[in-house]
Amino acid sequence: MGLDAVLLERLQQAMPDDPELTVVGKFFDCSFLLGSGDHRFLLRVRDGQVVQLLVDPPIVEPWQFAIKASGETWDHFLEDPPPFPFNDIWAATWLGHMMLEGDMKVFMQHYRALWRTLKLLRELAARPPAAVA
Amino acid sequence: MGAISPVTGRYIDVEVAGHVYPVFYLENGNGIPLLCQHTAGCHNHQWRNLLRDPQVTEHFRVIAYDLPYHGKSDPPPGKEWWKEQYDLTSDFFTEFIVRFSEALELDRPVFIGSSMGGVVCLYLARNYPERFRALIALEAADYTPGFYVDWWAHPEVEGRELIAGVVEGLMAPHTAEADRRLTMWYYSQCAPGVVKGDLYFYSVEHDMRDTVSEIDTGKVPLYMLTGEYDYLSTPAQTEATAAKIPGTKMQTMWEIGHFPMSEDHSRFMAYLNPILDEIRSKYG
Repeated sequence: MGLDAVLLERLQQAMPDDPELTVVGKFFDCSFLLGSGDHRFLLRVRDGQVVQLLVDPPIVEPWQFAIKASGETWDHFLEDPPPFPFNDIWAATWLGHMMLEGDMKVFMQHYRALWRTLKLLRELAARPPAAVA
Repeated sequence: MGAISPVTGRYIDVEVAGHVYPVFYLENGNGIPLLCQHTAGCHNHQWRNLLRDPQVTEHFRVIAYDLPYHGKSDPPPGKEWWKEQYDLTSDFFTEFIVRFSEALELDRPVFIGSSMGGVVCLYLARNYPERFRALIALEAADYTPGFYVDWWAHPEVEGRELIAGVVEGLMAPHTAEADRRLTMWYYSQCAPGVVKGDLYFYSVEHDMRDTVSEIDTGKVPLYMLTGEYDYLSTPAQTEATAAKIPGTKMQTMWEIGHFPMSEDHSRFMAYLNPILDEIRSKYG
């Protein structure tokens, strides 16, 4: 399973019930882009929840930071367990498989909640959709 | 009465470059002294499992200290340290290790360290080979730039949660959750500016690409172990470093990351035990 709108919609639904995000996501308040090959997914987050998910939005839609990679890189990132260096966005970026763009201060401020969000994404990718009820 | 661990903690005064530092250390075991160096910003709890491993403590006196400014080792009382930016240098780091060993009157200890603790092995090997029985460098290479980052100490960023999340990515996905979270927790405990300051040594000052070949493993044996998931010092980087130092024994540790002793003790010991056995039989 790769990074796509279906998986991100499942993420949007799962985030409010995630215990760790309830702890660390209280001030998770930003907008970011996940680029996967030719596709772009814009997530607007308020109080730790995705309030808007845009798939391939118009180029003028604003975001604060972006994480961009090939579809293949995201496939590896979502594997369980993921192979090195696709286990983490810093690892993948450090070794040239991902790009970080935009306002790095906002990225750093929200990294803890973002980290949990991406972990949740991987957990969801490992579970078939029917198991998420 | 509750269970009391055999590990004990004490303080000892160590004089380094004219200042006396009150140093806290944990120890357990009898035999060959084994000095254990924690990673940037952290403290000796990273060695919690080695300190309590009877297979090790039967033959080694495991001593895990907190560097000054870390854990229970306060900044030095005789210095206005709040007027200086804390940046660790190789001169201070190596001298501290040697003086700490002298203060405890250790007989040529074995030294083991990870990350900056692994990198400092290269300096100890080159500059103080006669002081050590063997050096075990975990997660080290001759050049490890890029991690001296202002975001680790920025007033608009919660640096403790940031660095905890960042270092998690340096661990293997196979690591058990409890050990993963403890390893992150220690980073979230770092004092202000200290993890960044330690990384001055690791990422700014450190460049032994042209000098690491000066190490003579005939004077002190050097072991280098690097985890598969370490992106700051990859196994390939460690291997290339070891290739410049004839006689170095290098291994990749599979399904382990940058914090072997803290993230996965049992997997780590599969690599470390044979080395400790060799040290005992050859240099004991």
